[in-house]
Order: sequence, then C-alpha cells, then structure tokens
Amino acid sequence: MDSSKVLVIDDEEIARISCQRVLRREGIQVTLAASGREGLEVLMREPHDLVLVDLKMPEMDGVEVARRIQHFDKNIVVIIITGYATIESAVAVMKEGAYDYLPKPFTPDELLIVVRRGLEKRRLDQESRALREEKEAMERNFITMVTHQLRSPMAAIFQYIEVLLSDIGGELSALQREMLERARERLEGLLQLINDWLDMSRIQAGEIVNRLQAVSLAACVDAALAGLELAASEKNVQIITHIPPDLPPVHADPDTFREVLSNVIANAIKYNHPGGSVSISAQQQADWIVVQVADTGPGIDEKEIPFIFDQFYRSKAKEIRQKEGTGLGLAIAQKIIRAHGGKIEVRSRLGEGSVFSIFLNRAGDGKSH
Amino acid sequence: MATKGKILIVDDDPDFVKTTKMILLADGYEVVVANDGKQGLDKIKEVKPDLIMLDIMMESIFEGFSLMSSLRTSPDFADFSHIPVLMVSSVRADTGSRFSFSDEEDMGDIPQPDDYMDKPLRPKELLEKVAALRQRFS
Repeated sequence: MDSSKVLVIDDEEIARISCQRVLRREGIQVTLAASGREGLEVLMREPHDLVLVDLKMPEMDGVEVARRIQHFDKNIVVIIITGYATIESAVAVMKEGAYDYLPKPFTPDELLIVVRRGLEKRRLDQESRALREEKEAMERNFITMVTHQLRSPMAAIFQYIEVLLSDIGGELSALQREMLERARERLEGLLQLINDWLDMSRIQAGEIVNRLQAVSLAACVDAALAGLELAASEKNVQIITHIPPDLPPVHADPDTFREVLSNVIANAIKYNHPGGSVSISAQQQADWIVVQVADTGPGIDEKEIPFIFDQFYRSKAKEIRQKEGTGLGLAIAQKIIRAHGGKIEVRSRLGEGSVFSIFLNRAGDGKSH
Repeated sequence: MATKGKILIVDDDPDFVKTTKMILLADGYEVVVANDGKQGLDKIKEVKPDLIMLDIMMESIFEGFSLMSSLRTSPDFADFSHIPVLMVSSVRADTGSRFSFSDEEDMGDIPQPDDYMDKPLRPKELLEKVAALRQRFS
C-alpha cells in the first residue's frame, strides 16, 4: 500500500490537514483539494487510487463530485465524508457507485480502516482485471498455438505419407500401401478434429450477425455441392436438388451458412447406403425459409436424437462408428445457425433415413437492409 | 536435360521442404531451397527462380509477408518482382478472408501472393497449381 495515492476533497482546511496527517503516517501519498472543481482537475492531471470527498461543500457538492469521478473513471474508489444529518444522501451516492461513507466526526483509526479497506478493494479490482486480461490473451494465444504448433508437424507427417503413396519414394507393396492409406485416414480424422475444434472456438455470434445479408439460397447450395461431388460419386450417392426459382433470399452470412450446408450435406452422403440418394429442397413457411436435406441412410435411433447436436456426441450405431468423425460438425452447424437467429432440427427413424431442416429468416424481414 | 522450371522453396520446416522437393523433382522441376526469409531473398537474386513457394509462418509470423513486400516493392528487386509466388501455410484459412490473422487492419497494404495452398500439400494438387501458375506467368 506504500505507493497508494489518495485525494482528499474538503472545503474545511482543518479536515483536509488532519486526514493528510493520518494517512501520511501510513506511507500513503496524499493530495489535497479545497473544492470539487479543484479535485476533479487534480484527477485529470494525475491518477489516484482513492478519493475522500466531503458531502457538504459550497459550489459543487460531494454528490455531484462523486458522480463526475465515477463518470471519469469508475475504477477509482470513492468514499464520502458526511455529517450524521446527511447519511441518507451518502447512502444514495453509494447506490450510484461510491464505495463507502465515513460519518463525521471520525477518529484517525476509523479513517484508516475505511481507507485501507477501500485501497484493498482497489488492489483486488486491479488484480482481477489483470488476471482476466491475461486469461483472454492466453485463450487467443492458445488458438494460435494449436493452429501452428499442432498442425505443422501433422502436416509434415501427412505429406510424407502422401509422397510415399504417390510412389515417389519407390514402389509400394499392396500391404504397405494399405497400411499407409489407413494411417492417412486416421491422420485426416485428427486434422479434421483440430479444424472443427478451432472453428468451434472461433465462431463469434456477434461477428456472424454483422455479416448477415440477403443471400440466394440456390447459390449457397451450389457452392456447398461443388466441394462434395467427388464424395457423392465415389459412394454412388445421387444428389437431387429442388429449390423453387422464386424463393426469396435468406438473411445469412454466406461463408458460415455455406459451411453449415456443406456439413449437413456431407453427413447425408457419408452416412448413406451406397447407391442411396440425398434430396435437398427448400420452401417458404410463414416467417421462415426452410432448407431440408433428406438422406436414405440408416436413420437415427429415437433415443439419440436429443444428443446429436451436442459437442463430441457420436452415435452408438455401428454404421456411424465405422466412419471417421469428430462429433463436432453438427454442434458447429447449430452454433452458426443460432447466431443467424434460426434453428436446425432433425426428424429421423431407424431404417428410414433422416431429414435435417434448417430454418432461416427471410431477407428483408425487419433486421436486414 | 531441360527442366520444367526452377522453383525456390522458402520454408523453415525441413520435413516439409524434403517432401515438397521430392514431389517437384519427380515431376521434372529444378528445386532450390532457402530456410528463412533472408536466405530466400538472397537466393532469389542468385538463381532467379521461375516460381517461389513461400511459407507464411517462419521464425516470425510475418517473415513470409515481409519477403513478399521486398520482392514486390523494393527497387533492389525490380528485376524479380514479376516472379509468381505460391504462398503455403498450415494455418488454416479463416472463414472469408484468407490472410486475416487476428487484426485485418494490420494487413492493409501487404502485397498479395498469386496463389495459396494449405499444408499438407497433396502431390497432385500441388503439381496442378504449380503448372497453372507457370502457365499464367510465362
């Protein structure tokens, strides 16, 4: 507490001097001001930890001074000095953010107790603010660390496998090839997990809201499908789209919304039977534009439906477990769609395929331009 | 034998360099390697490559960008400023803008590379991209 700085604002000289004497003995630096105006000027010039201000002063009273100090810097601890007749006013000032009050007349000890407690609060506030800032910085750095320090070595390993599999390092036996292909598959799963995890921590609802605009649903679906053609043809899954040409635009952030569509359609392909199909349709329903992605896959057990949007939840079904998956895709999709002010739902029965429905606002309904 | 072209890899990860070099060599390119930004600039002058593969995140995050900047704007590199640059990184592109790290404002006037790839590189994709860039800039 040695270097703490206290400002005493009081129009009575004796009161100011006696406060100064008591506090200085404790090693506290004290500045004196004879009026509210003078006190505020001192605060503007140099920062103080705590201000003692007399309630009853001519010109600008303590209530107003306290209010202005709070407005100037709400972290400064304000203590009101008051006569017994005006304790009610002091309490009212405390409701507006002053830390404590000290009734006159007070003994040196009473003054010290209140000031020490106020300075202690100031110190704790500062510490907790510093800790909070440190924690936020760590969270930011952690993401960078994961991105770079974890992805770099994995990318290097992955590339070795790629080079070997393309026979650049010499010809492989069938068994070696099979083992390397399996290793690559597992590594891809791990890379995907890191990417999904980063996405999850990066998606900021506020940022999505800022990017919402009128977007053509058909264009988003086309863009999402562009990256999935290979997966569909490899699995011999037919993709059927039916989006009415006169469908009004949706209120969406094109990048993240496309990511959601891509994710849901990719699931519909991945967890489908070979030779099955995926139908993508859209329609207008009251306030919503609804996109539906229906597959002919194994369907989802009724008991599992409440959990499939949870982070890291993966179905217990064998058909699902066989595939690499992170259990984050649908959690991310839901987070993004909720940030859009929409919702995502699923209807499914075992053996009958699944239908995922994404509800989005129509563009131009109030919020958009 | 005439090669398909001279490629300079600027990257501080020896494993990445080794595998990338093998892919390019196998396809008939000549490959020169630099392990940091400074060496990269020296090699550009020394060998005048036909294409530069540049890692974004070397010793410091912006080493790659500062090489880009010297190459494109410094009078010292006037003879080399047209060389195409393929930027490579294992920092996955953020949604939307490829090069926004945390603060887009900071990225203001940095010259943009001619193309971009995420690590790990698949041999086929890399060779396609390199061929396309070579054609675009020949």
